Amino acid sequence: MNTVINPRGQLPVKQQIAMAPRLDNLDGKTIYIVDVRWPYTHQFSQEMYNVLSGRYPKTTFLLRDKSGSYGEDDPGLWAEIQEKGDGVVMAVGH
Amino acid sequence: MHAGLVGMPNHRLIYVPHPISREPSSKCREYIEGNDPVTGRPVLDEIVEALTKPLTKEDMIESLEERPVPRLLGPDTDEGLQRLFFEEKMTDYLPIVLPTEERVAEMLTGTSHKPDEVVGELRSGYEALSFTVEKVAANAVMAGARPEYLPVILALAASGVPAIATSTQSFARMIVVNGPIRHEIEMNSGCGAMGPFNQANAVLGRVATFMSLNLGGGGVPNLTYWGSQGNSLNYNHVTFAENEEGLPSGWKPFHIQKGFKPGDSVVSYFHGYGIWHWKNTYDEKRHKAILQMANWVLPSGAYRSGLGLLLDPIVARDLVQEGFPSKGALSEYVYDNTKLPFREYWRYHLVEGMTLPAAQQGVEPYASWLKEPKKTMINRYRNPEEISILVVGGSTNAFWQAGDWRYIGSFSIDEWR
Repeated sequence: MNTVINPRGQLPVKQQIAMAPRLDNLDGKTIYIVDVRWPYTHQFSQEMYNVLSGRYPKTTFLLRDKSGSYGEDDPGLWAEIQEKGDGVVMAVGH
Repeated sequence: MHAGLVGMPNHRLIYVPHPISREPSSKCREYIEGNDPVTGRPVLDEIVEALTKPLTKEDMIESLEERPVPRLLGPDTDEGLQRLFFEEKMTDYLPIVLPTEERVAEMLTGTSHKPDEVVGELRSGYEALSFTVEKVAANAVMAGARPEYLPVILALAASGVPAIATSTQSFARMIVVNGPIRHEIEMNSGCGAMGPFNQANAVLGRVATFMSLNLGGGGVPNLTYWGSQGNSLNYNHVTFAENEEGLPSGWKPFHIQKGFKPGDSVVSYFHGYGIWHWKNTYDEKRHKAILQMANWVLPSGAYRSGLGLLLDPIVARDLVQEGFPSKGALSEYVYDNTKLPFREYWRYHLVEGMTLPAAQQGVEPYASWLKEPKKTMINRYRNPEEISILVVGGSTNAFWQAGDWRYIGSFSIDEWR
């Protein structure tokens, strides 16, 4: 019988984050649709905007491109959504 | 999946069939009005539900969870431990040398650094793990390393560069060693240097993969590794020593090109997918043929591409005779002669996805490139430094190889002796 050195590194402390509160319904609300800008997928976000706007006319949908490439942060947009939005749908493409 | 691993386990995800890139709007609408291929439920219903369905108590939990990692595994039989390493996805599924305390202690004689010294952090999955010299030594034992290899392995570990990434693309690395340690650990830079004919060449790349799995928390398909096809180079990557003795006069070893001294021992990391072999040696000048390979590489920009030319010493000597007195002169030549038309450049997938957004944000030089007249030719590479030239091989024939190897960085081995 043998023991061995565990080759695994130390995992960081895992922080569980509470999810944002949900809406009662979509009426009168502003929902952002964020396109993360995966190459050549904007037409998907545009169609999502078109379909949702047509189906839920009492809701304001705003289509926004995240700035920078798909892997970059966009604190300005997150702040805008927090201030002006009620919800967000983020489209991550491939 | 990512959110669940780092702290939001019930993050509301909805799927559509994919890929959607370049699909027409009509197809995208069909997907949005259709069903989620994972749940079978209508996508639109799921979107509304994700926004309006009340949170559960679990959704609202905020917590901090310590995750201690035990220093030892076992006790068990050798067979049981081998099986444990397979089951826990800590290996490449080839047999390993079990990292017993005795073997790891012997490995640690290869460095003056203390076992409990923190080397750094590595992120191969979604989280950065920290690790000590002892942990690196354990991975080195597993791969079949000798103690004298440990400074090279510690330099790779301390670089913070994972050998395996999470991407849906299937990356590999090229690992090149320069300086005196090449001889000290008997690396092969000559005949068959990139083949399975030398212990150090074979083992160093294998350790890099083990460290990505175990010290970087990656390499689990469909969880922390998403490379659709995988890459067989990940078994030990493309790992060799540069044949510094085979360099023609005027051509400097790679580490000296990067600012190190001749007596320094250095390991360099490159990022790419694979290698191509060129064997048409008689029809044209070598520098002309090299352009054909250089034109296979994706255009560079905010997504950095790169070319790695791996030249046999015979080819390097021929190139000197063809008018290239230095590696730099050849890099300049390739840089100047691999331009592509404006429209072709901007329609490339990753140029559209990474360089165009940067250009639109005013990031130079991309912003200026975007303003160029449509008839302008754009450089495939951002600068000549993206074309790395390495001499390797045993002069048994005038062949060479190349790959889409983007230079990441060079790291001191001597600091880890």
